[in-house]
Amino acid sequence: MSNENFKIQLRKGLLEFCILQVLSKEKLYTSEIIVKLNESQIIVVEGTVYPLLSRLKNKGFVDSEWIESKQGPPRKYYHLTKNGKNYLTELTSSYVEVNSSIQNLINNK
Amino acid sequence: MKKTVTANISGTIYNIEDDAFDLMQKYLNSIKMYFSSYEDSDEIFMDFENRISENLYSISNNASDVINSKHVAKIIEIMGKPEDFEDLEIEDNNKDLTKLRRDNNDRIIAGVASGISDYFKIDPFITRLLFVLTIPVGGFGIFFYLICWIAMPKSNMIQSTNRKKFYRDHDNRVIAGIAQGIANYFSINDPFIIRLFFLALIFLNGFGLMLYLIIWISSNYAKTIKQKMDMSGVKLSVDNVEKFVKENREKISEIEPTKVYGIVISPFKLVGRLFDKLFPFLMRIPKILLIFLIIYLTAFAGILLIAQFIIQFSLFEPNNELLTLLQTIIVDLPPLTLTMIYINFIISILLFSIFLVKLLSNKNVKNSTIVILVVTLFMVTSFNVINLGSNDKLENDIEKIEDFVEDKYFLKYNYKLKIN
Repeated sequence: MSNENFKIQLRKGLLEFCILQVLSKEKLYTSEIIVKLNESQIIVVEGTVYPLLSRLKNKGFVDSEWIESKQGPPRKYYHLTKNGKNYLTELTSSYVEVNSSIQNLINNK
Repeated sequence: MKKTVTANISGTIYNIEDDAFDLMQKYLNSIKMYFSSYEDSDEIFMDFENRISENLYSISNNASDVINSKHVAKIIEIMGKPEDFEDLEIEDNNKDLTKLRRDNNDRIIAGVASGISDYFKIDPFITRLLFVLTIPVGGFGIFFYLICWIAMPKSNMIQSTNRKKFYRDHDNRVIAGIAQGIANYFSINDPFIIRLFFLALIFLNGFGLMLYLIIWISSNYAKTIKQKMDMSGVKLSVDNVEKFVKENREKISEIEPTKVYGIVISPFKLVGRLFDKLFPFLMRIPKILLIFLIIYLTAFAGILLIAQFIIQFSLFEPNNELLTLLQTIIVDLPPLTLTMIYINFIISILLFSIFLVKLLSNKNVKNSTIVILVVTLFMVTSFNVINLGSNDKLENDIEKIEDFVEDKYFLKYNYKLKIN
C-alpha cells in the first residue's frame, strides 16, 4: 500500500516535467499527449492533465492554437513557448542532478 | 428490459442506458463545476468531453454498442474524479495564497479587496465594506485601491478556502438579493423579517436605504456554484454539488409568495431589474476611463475635505487672518481649477508609486498607462496655467497672502535681528 502511494506521488511530481518533455518534440493535442504519457505509464488518472495544461498555459510555458481536424470537431494543439523551453532545460538539469545523486545513494549502500 | 437514450458526446452518437446516462451526467456536471473557476473553462471542458468520447469509443467494441453503467464507471476510473486532481493543485494554490494577489475569480472592479481578504483569510465582504466606508475620508479608500491595483499582480489560480462568505443571492432576490443573502448567511429560512427590518429603517432618516446601498456596493453576488455553496457554508465535493443544485432548484420553485406580499414587493423588483440592465453597461466602460473616473471622485472628496478643514478651523479661530485669506482664495478659485489641481496631485502620487513598484517588484506596469498619466498631468497643468494666468481676482488674493506672510513672519524676523 505504501509502495503504491510512493509511486503515485512520484508520478504526480514528474507529470508536469513529462508533459513539457513530450511537447518539446512536436505540437500535440490533449488526447495525443495523454496517449504518449500512457505509453510511459506516467499518468494516474487522465483528468489530471487538463488542469495541469491550463496552469502551464497561464504561466506562459505553453501556448495553444485550434486546428481543424478531418474527423470530428477542431482540436486544440499545444506547443512550448520560448519561456517553456527555458523552463524545461532547467527542469531537465535538476532532474538529471537528482537522478544521479539518488543513483549514487543506491550504488553506495 | 432497460430504457436507453441517445446522447451526443462531442460529435459521436451513443446509445446509453438510462441509469448510465444519469451517472455520466452527474460526472460531467462535477467536472464542469470543477473547471468553472478556470479562465478558459469552456475550452477545457470541451477537450475533456472529447477525450471521454474517444475513450468510450475504444472501450465499447464499436459505436453501435449500448453503453451501460459499467462502461461509464470505467470512464470515470480512467479520467478520474475532481478530488483526484485536487491534491495536485493544493501546493500551488497555497503558494498563491501566501502572496498578495488580485483575485480574478471573485471581483467587482479589479479583485483588490477579494485578493486582500484571501490573503488574510477573511470574508471579502468585510474588506470591500472597509474600502467603501473610507471613501468619505478624503477619498482615502479609492486612492488606496488604485495603488493596490497597480502594485498587486493578477491571479486566476486563487481558489479560496472553503468557508462561509457573504454574497448577494441573485436567485431569490427582490432588488439585489441582499436580504436573502443575509438570511443565507445566518441560516434564516425566511428573508421576510430582514426585508421588513430594512423597510422599517428607511423611516429612520432613510438610514435603511443608506445601509442597503452601502452593503450593495460592498458585496458581490454569488456567480459560480462554488460561490453559491460558500454562501450557504456547504463544503465542495462531487456528491454535495449535486445535492446542492437539486435543493436550490426546489427552493426557488417552492417559494410562492402570497398575493399581498407580491404586490408590495413588485415595485422593488422593478428597481432590481432596472439595475440589471444598467450594470453590464457600466462594466463595459474601458479600464482607463474607470481609473479617471475614480481619480475624479477622489479629487472631489479631497476638496470637500480640505474645504471642510479650513471652515472648521476658522470657526475655532475667527480672528486668524491667514485662514480668512485661504477661505477667500477657495471661494475665488473656479471649482473646476480646484478639482484639476487635486487631480494633478493624485496623478503625481500615482506616478511616484508606479515608479516605486517598478523599483521594488518585478511586476510589469504597461508603458501605455504611464504615458497616458504623464500626458494628462501635462495637459491639466497647462490648462490650469492658462486659466489662472488671466484671473485678476486670484492674483489679488495671492498678493494679499504674500503680503500677509511677509508682514507677519519676515518682518518679525527682521525686527528681532534689528534688536539684537
